[in-house]
Amino acid sequence: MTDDLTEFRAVYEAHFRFVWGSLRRLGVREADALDLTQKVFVTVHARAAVFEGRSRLRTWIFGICQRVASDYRRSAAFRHEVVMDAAELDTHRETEGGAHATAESRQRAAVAETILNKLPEPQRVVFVLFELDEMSGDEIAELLDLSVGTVRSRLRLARETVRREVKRLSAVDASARKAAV
Amino acid sequence: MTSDPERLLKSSDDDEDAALERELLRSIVDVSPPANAQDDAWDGIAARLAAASAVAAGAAVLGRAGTASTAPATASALKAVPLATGVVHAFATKVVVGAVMAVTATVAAGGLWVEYRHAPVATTRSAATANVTARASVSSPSAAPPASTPETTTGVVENEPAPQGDAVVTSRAEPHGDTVAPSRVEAHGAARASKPHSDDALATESALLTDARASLRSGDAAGALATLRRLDARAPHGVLRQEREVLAIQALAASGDRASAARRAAAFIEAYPNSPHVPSLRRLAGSP
Repeated sequence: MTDDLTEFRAVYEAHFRFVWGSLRRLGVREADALDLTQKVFVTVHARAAVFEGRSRLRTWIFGICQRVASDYRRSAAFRHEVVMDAAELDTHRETEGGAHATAESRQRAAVAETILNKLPEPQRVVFVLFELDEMSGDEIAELLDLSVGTVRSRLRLARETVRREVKRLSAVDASARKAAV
Repeated sequence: MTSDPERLLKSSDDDEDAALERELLRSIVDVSPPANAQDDAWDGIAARLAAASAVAAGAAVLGRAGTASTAPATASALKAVPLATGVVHAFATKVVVGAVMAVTATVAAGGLWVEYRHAPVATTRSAATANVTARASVSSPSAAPPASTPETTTGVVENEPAPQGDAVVTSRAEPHGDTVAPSRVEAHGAARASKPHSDDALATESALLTDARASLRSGDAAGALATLRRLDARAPHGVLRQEREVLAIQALAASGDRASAARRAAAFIEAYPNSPHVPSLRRLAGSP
């Protein structure tokens, strides 16, 4: 019986960065990523029975990340904070003493997140996996269990929305860019 | 077969909007976790799993008390979780059995057993739902009075609870005559009624561990050791003792007491040869 936790730990070690990164990609702010990463792995553990090897482990885990992140994004607390407190994205990182999160980069990141939050979830997922994680259309299709055609059309739609939002941003408030640069 | 479009970040489009778009995207490219997030998250996960298995064990006890027919399933309910594809069925049994016993015990609805057992492909969902039900119902005070929740978590959470090794590893902390052989945890774990291990205790243990790790990280090895001593005093039977001992060893090494660190690292490795911590401890113990 002792092998099981060891085995789970191995799954954890192998997927921790993937889960953390996926949650962040799916709109989870860094300050909340630790908690939600735990939630994902507890779910992985609890639902191991459901996995049954019907898909790749990574695909299945990503699905759990999507559900956890989507609950999170729907939560009232998240919505409220996004509006009220968008600049405090990287509180956790700052305590690490990294020079990583300057005020400007945090602000830029907040704007970027706000734009991504306007995308419907399925488009957002494809968009971030392709544009930010540099996965290929085929890889995304496999991860999400979709056809490559669907992946590409979602990407196209997401790009249109993002571009529209970027245009709006630069048109509505040209000074915002100066502040962000 | 068409190919993927060019990525926005790779685009050399010098249109103003494209440039702004790239800048915004670039700001969120890095999503790597901060240092130690992996260890911190694990502590919390281990605590939650321990809490869950304590609940499952509670369910097993209730189930056994309620219906004799479920007793043979107790052993498999207490088995921890196999994750390899080949063996997940054992866990499926655990989830379903645990849930059914909880439901049987609390609602006395024996029919659910049949429903869950023989649910076709939909078992997938049922099992998950059932699992949630189990936790929800068992953790309500009326269903499982805290006093009857046995502390079976030690055997389940610790990777290799070798009795003598355990004693060696925690010898500094306190004598505990309550070390449990792994085989007995499985056989009699549910029946052993020792102290309740509440969620609060787990949360406290996890929080103190995180504090100790934070102290160590900030260079305060003495502070980390003090926190760990406090933890030993407050939760001598905690479920995260491996984590605790590893931290203590790291703190000792960081404080300059390499001899103690090496001695306790060797004891740990002997007690938990398959622990994921072994490689780093070997490095730590082996270094001059």
